Amino acid sequence: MSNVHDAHGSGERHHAHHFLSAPHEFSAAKQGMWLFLVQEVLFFSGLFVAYGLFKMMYHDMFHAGSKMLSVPMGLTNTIILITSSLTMALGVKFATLGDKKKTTLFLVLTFLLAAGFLVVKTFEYTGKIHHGLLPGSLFTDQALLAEHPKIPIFFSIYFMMTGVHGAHVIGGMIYMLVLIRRANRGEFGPKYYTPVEMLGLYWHFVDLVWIFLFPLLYLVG
Amino acid sequence: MSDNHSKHDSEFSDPQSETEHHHDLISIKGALLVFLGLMIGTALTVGAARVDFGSSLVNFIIAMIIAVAKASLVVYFFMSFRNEVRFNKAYALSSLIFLAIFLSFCAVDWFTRGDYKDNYWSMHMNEKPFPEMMALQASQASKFDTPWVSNPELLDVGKKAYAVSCASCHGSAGHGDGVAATAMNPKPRNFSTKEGWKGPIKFFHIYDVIMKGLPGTQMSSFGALPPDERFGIAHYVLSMTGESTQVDSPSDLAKIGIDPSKPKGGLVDDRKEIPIEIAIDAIAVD
Repeated sequence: MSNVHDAHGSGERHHAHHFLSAPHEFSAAKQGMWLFLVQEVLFFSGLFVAYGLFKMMYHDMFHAGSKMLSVPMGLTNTIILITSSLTMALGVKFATLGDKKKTTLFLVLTFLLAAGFLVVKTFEYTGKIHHGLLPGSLFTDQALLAEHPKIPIFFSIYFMMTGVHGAHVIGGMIYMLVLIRRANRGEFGPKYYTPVEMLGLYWHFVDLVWIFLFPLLYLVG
Repeated sequence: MSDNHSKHDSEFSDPQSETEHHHDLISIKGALLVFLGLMIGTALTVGAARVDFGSSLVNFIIAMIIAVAKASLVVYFFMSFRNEVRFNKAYALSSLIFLAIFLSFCAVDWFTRGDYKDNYWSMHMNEKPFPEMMALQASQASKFDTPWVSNPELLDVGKKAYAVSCASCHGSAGHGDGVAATAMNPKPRNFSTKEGWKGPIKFFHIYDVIMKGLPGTQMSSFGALPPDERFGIAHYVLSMTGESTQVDSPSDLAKIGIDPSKPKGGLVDDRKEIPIEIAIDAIAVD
């Protein structure tokens, strides 16, 4: 707790001049974050609609494509992301308690889990590329193609959905690095933890998208 | 400045004050419980996906129910939805409303396309997209015993169907001047002149074009129309040309799969709709 006071003397971060008060700033930030997440839902829902339509049109092909994905890898990533949501929630919690060390620790843990997610994803992508299970004309598995001529569509959807989700993971990790640095400097405490909480909201949303992607793509495709 | 601030401070409940943040965010124990719940949910999803319920739809619904439950845990506890101010709750819930509108409009579109969907594919594929469906449709019998012979009732059916399916391009009087014709090249057939026809101005040829469409033009297949309408339109169009309406010879009729010596022309007297399984297979095959 004392770190917060040391870093800023008064112990309070001064809010931006266009806000009436620190709580005003906090509530505005949070409202903005929720709005952002609402449009994120719509952003992803376009992809989910595409998934639904193609699944209805090419039911058997989708099933065959889904079978080519590795459930153990998808499951590993699900566990990793859920765990990272927990560490993120704890990071926010410790930020509000002004525990500099634990805030930093849990943000670092979250970052490492996110990196782990990307490593597994890289193995998956490499495998798909190696076997020619790719979108459109890049698809080269002739045996599958002979049986399901439209199967590249499944991999277009797979790469688009997981790719856009992966980009969100990377984006979150970049901001996480910034916050790890700031947390380590003792910038966050009971009076000011807005950025950590916002990152938390974002990160839980990324987890939430994966909660739907995993069963849809890997299990019941 | 600072006076001004302190005056307004009281207007906002301070979410970051020492007394409040304990309610505001989940406790460490609570976070661990939510985590446990999410892990159990994940195990259930994977487990349920391995069970054969007889229909993959059941697996799909179970997986989605678990996913929604897990997502609710994340939103309600990790994202502190339960302690969010009402305004932000409304924001968050509005995303579900938008999502519902998006999904339901797409679903309405998908499930009501019907014939248009079939025609769309026929129009845009050079190869015959639905061999089974086309064969099934072509062999369907009309409710009339000799639909290749014109009669007033059939003409009336044709006139009505023409207004719905043909007039937008060919014009209500068949002059090839429908509303949609302006943008077309080549222009739709003008039935009142004898120039440019790609075959004899006879019933069987008109029926054949209705069934198959004309490659290289905007004339697509209308083979998905009910049999009475296809026969009716062919007779109605023939009546517009002013050509004789004498009955086509058996060899001409054979070209459109009709054998006048057989009852109902040898067409299948099965006026049910295309079975959905065949339609789905045909879509998957194409």
